[in-house]
Amino acid sequence: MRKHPTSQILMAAVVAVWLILSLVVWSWPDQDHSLHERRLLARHPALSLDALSSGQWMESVETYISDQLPGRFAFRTLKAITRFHLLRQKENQGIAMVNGHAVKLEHTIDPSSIDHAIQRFQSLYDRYLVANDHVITFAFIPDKLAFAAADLAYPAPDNAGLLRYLERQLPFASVVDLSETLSLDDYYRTDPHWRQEQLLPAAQQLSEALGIADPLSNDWQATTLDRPFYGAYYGQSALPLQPDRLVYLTSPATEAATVRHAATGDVTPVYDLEKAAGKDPYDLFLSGASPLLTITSPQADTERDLIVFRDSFAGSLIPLLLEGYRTITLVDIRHIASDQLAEHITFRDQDILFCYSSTILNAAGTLR
Amino acid sequence: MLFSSLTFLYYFLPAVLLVYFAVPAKLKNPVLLTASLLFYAWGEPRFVLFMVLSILVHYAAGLAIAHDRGTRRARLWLILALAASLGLLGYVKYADFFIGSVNAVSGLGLPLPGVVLPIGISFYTFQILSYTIDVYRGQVEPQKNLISLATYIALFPQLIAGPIVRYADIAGQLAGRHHSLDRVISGLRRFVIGLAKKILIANTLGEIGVLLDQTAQPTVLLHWLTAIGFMLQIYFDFSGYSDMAIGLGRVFGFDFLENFNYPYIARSITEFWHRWHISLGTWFRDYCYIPLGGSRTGKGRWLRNLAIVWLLTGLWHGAAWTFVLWGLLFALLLIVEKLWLGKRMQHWPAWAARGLVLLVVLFSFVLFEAPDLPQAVQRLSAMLGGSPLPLADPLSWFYLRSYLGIILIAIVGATSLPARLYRRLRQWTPADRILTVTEPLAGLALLLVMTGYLADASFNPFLYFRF
Repeated sequence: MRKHPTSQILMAAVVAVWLILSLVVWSWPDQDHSLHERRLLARHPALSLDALSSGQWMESVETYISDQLPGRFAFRTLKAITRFHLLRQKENQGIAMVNGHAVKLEHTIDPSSIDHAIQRFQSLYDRYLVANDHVITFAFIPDKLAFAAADLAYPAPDNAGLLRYLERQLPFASVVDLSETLSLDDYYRTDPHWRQEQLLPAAQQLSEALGIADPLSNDWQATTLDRPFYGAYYGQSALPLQPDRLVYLTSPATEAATVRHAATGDVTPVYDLEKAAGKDPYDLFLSGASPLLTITSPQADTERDLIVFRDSFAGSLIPLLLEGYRTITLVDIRHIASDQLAEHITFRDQDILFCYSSTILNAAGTLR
Repeated sequence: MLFSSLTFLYYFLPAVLLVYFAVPAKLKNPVLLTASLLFYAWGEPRFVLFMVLSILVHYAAGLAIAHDRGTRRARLWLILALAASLGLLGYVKYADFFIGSVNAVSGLGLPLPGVVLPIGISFYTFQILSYTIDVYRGQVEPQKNLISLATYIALFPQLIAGPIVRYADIAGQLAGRHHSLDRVISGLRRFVIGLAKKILIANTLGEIGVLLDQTAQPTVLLHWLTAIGFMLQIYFDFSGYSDMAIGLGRVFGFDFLENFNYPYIARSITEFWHRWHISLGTWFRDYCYIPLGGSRTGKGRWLRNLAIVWLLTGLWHGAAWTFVLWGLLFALLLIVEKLWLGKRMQHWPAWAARGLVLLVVLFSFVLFEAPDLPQAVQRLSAMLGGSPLPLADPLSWFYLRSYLGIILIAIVGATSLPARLYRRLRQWTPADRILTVTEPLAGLALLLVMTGYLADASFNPFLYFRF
């Protein structure tokens, strides 16, 4: 191989770029958190003899250096593009792309997790519900992979089998499969959650099961949040995806309703614009994660009450049912232990709704 | 510390380079030694002492052997030094295996020591043995400068995954070596190529094995995909590491011998082992096979020698019966080849000979990679249709589609085709001009892409670390 002076100069320039990049890495100021990865970033670990001799300090430094790499997300994007477009791989970090949608490739159903969830639900029933004459409904929300698997030529999760199992194991509840009224486009492209503005058919299906007024008959106004929504899969896939837009539906009932958070005593509107301006705009809906909250709906056309055991999907669905209930109490047993509920809720004859996504059922270890 | 880490790439290596080239020649070895000890201590702080102890023992042994050369005491010093290093290696690497095997056979419940294997101990032990044996044989002079000897043993480019550098090959370079911008550039170029082989190809192929482990219902297709993926992964992982070591050696003025020479284009098993992990093969040849008598003895002793060398080669790779069988399998294959099949294979078409070698190596790596013998048998049986598994399912087809691109790249990359094509293009003036500009840019692009891979992953150990 001949050695060109130009080649040597360019090679030397590349080495110089690498050394300069190293200097930038050394001197870059630390960041507190990653917006796209929705987490705090590691800080420089404290040095101690124990940590040094055990190697723990070195491990922490490795994590710190990786977390604080300048342009970390841009570098991750470079990797994702290489993987998808150069190596023609079908996924990055377990996320695949289907018709512009980022979809998590998790088709297996974990029987032990499902059984744990069922055991928690049965425990709730035995402790609080068996004594009263409740109408109990279980709403099943599929992960969006169920609608994307065929296009990906990837195995679809066996939701039909899971539903049959739930029906057998939860005989006290009437199981409603919301898959029937959903499609892939009813979910955000960059996030696992569903889009509220697309949920009226699902809300209608659920209202029929609950025996309340059809939400489709209401006059809903759609409002678009004025900031982009980069969902959880945006950060996970690291692909340069176009952000979603958060749209929320308002009606006289949602405008009039108030939300009381048991943990803090705060009272907020159904759509929390203050939270929506924070780190996760999806917190727009009922202020995001909360162990226990009660929505009071003065515009409800009934005297009925509803208790919802739920995950985050319910946050955008429940506002669509406000005309049907005077109060709706939402309980997230990931954040509050089931045996503490009697301190906060008097179980009488309220309607009961279990509203869970397959994602949470399949990782139910956090249900308490 | 891993080469394939941001810490190494953006902190350790630039800092060491800057200091190394800033200090005068007489301080270069101390700088390299300090950096190497830090490099080793970064991952294994406790085990630095083992290495330092080995260095001191062999330093003293080398001087003592030279002092008593020609006497029985020299032999005693050699035996003591070998016993110290091999005893330590035997204890940390094989104690659990042997006691476990004794327990399995005898039914005894002897407690296992549960010793943690220091990283790279097999590599640096073999390096230091070569030094002391060569001093005993009078092939090299003993190193009187402790720092020079310690630099040779601890030299971070090849410390933890080879190649196994002989003292005789770099003794002169330890005393004084040539540095230039050309060497730095070509060394870093080789380093980046090795890093890309590791990060882009080997790590990606390594994901296939994880998929097999995670799949509740594997298929025949997935077993084949895993086997082919591992066969390519181990080549790109290990040869990538060797490229990085050779490249870094060049940066610091050392010339390490090549460790791989396109082993997957070999037309016989003998040729395969002349192309695969060359430094280990030549080490066993020179320090084990030939001292045992090699092939210049009767057929019986020759067969015994082969069996011993390949048993040891298997055991060097790991303390498990799968490795023992893997080594003995190659002993058997080499015997069959040398006694019967080898001459016939010379008349076979190249594709048939290469195909047979690849198939044999593929199956051997299934044995090599399996965690235990029953699983090895199960996997081989699954590949050959001996298990009631479906041929394929949508999941395994999905994985095949997802990894086909990288497998094809790896297959082509494992041949000499890209290198030959590159040389051809360099000889054609228009292409040469284009490459002059694009090659450095490609190097930079590779560096940035690999930084992206490292930023996106937190754990990617080299396969050969466990040896």
